[in-house]
Amino acid sequence: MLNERAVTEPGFWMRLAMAGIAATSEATFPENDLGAPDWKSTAMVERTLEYFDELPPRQRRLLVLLFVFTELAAGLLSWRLSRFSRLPARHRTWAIHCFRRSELMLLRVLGDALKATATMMYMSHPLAIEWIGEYRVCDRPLDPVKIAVRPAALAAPSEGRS
Amino acid sequence: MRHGFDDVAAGFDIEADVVVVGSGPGGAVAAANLARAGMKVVVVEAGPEVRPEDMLRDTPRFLARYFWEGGLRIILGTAPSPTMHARCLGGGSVVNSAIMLPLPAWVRQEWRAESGVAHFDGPELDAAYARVFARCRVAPTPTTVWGRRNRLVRDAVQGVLGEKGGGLPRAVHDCEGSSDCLTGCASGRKQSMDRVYLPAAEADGAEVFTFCQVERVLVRGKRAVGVEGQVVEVPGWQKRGRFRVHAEHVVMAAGTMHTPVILQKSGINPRGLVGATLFCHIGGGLVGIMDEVVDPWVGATQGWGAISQEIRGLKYEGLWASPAALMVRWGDVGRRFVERLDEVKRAAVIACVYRGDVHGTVKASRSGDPDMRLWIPEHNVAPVMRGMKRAADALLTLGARYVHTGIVSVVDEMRTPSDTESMLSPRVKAKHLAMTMNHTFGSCRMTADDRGPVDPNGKLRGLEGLYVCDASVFPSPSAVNPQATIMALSDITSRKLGGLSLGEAPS
Repeated sequence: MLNERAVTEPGFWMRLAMAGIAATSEATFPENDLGAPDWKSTAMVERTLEYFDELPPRQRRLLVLLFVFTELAAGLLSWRLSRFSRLPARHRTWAIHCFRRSELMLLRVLGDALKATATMMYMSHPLAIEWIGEYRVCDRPLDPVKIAVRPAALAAPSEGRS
Repeated sequence: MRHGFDDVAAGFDIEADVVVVGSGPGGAVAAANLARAGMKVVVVEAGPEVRPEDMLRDTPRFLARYFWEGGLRIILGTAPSPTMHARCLGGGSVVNSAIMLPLPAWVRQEWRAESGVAHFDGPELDAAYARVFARCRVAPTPTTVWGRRNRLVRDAVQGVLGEKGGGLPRAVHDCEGSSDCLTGCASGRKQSMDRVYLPAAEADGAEVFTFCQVERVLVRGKRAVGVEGQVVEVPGWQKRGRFRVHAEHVVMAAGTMHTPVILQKSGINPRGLVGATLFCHIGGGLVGIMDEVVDPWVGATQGWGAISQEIRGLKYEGLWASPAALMVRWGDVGRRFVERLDEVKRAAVIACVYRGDVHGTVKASRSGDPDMRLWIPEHNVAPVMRGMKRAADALLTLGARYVHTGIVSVVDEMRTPSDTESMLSPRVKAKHLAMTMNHTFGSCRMTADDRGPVDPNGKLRGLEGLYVCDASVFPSPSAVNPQATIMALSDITSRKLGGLSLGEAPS
């Protein structure tokens, strides 16, 4: 369940972090005409907050700090005098792309951290799993995340299928 | 006997002959041997037991619960890189690919020459390997569970490059080829420590305590006399009761990061050598997007591999993991990445693992977590990139549409051999390498003289009753996956301590 404290009474820093998470999520997995799930349909903000609640306290604080920093400073680092969440989504996407390709280690670490967190949340959602066509050759009946099962796939590998 | 959270929450104070800190490959083997030798053994493990119902394909949640620092641990230094260390009963053996490769002969010779420890290249190590391999039912990954992905890696590395390899020997019996090793083997086929050595230890009377995070070794005079620490609930990370285990012998098997940190926090650091060294394998991964559908989620996680004959110290291996973990550095962001999601089913991934001569340190940070630094010499970049270029060219030869590495200053989507030339550019520096540093060793090196803090019997110098049984004792990188060697060296140390034969044939 979503952490109630985080939703009903988020403090100043948590509100900044949530804005940073939403801004990053939209930039990395935007709405699209490809039919692929996006940041909203995969509930990335809510699930990221749930993920934070699973983390050890120090790592939780570090990730909150990451997104607070992103919200406050990533705009400036991409040559815009604005909070990150108030920039157009395309500019935010470009900014994260540039951070990840930067020669400056700190920018590269920032870009990689944003991409990694967003990708982990997106790719673990059942809609994304279904979209990429992921399945397994055996079931995990006790796992709440249901993934398609094709037991025969191993016996008949898809050699040559295009 | 196995104690869960309810048993330990309030804390405890007990006595034993020997306390083993950590239940991974080193600790579990030591516990089984010492219990078999008739000692009263207590194992304390910081994390919980991962039962089949806990093995979630919800990767972020699984990492947060069962890995140190929630799976977000980073090694700083030349190229800040993630490093994943399990925090659960059975340690890394629960969440790794169970690859069991003995040290190559040249590494054994080098270890012996460097450290002066005879058994690194002696019959004792052969016998120890034989024992652990027999007990873990180690066998080459059968072709029936390779799947298309492992076959493609074989076709590229062996077929195109001529590097002879095969089904990787793994501690998996009757593998299902589910590609789920990272989040635990729910079907119980993987012969992890919680299923093999710890039950053996328990059958001989050992007691295993989970959720118990050791903070300090207790010392009286010049002798270790036990450990103390904190019960930590997972999930939730609430601190509960405190515990103490008084014992005549302490076996540290908390891993390359935590063994030195616990010793440092206990004021045990002979000549400043504990944590003064740290080594790891470096390298990188290549994703080849093929014309055909590969269905990379079918087949053993790491089913095929080859030790390079062309580049000494380099190993090629097939790889797959949950896309939520594997794709964190893969591709671009935004629409360009979303467009590429349709190609994941065409992916073949080759990991290039290089021994190198990376050096670093581990220190206890103020928070109590390890603070790790690793420095990659620039001359290590050329062999890594040459190995990766060869693998990229091989994938292109097999018809890959493009190959991606995630390395800054390399062409993002390499489609021709001239694109792959960018991997050999002098612009590619050590700081650009994109990798996960999971193989870490050597923070409490075993040496015959006093250059390392651990002597050939596995005993910490300058303190009676304290032994080290994990990858901390490696004198330098192993060049292959470390689990088999951790277990074999722990087998030797614990047999010596327990007075068991070192030459005993596997049963």
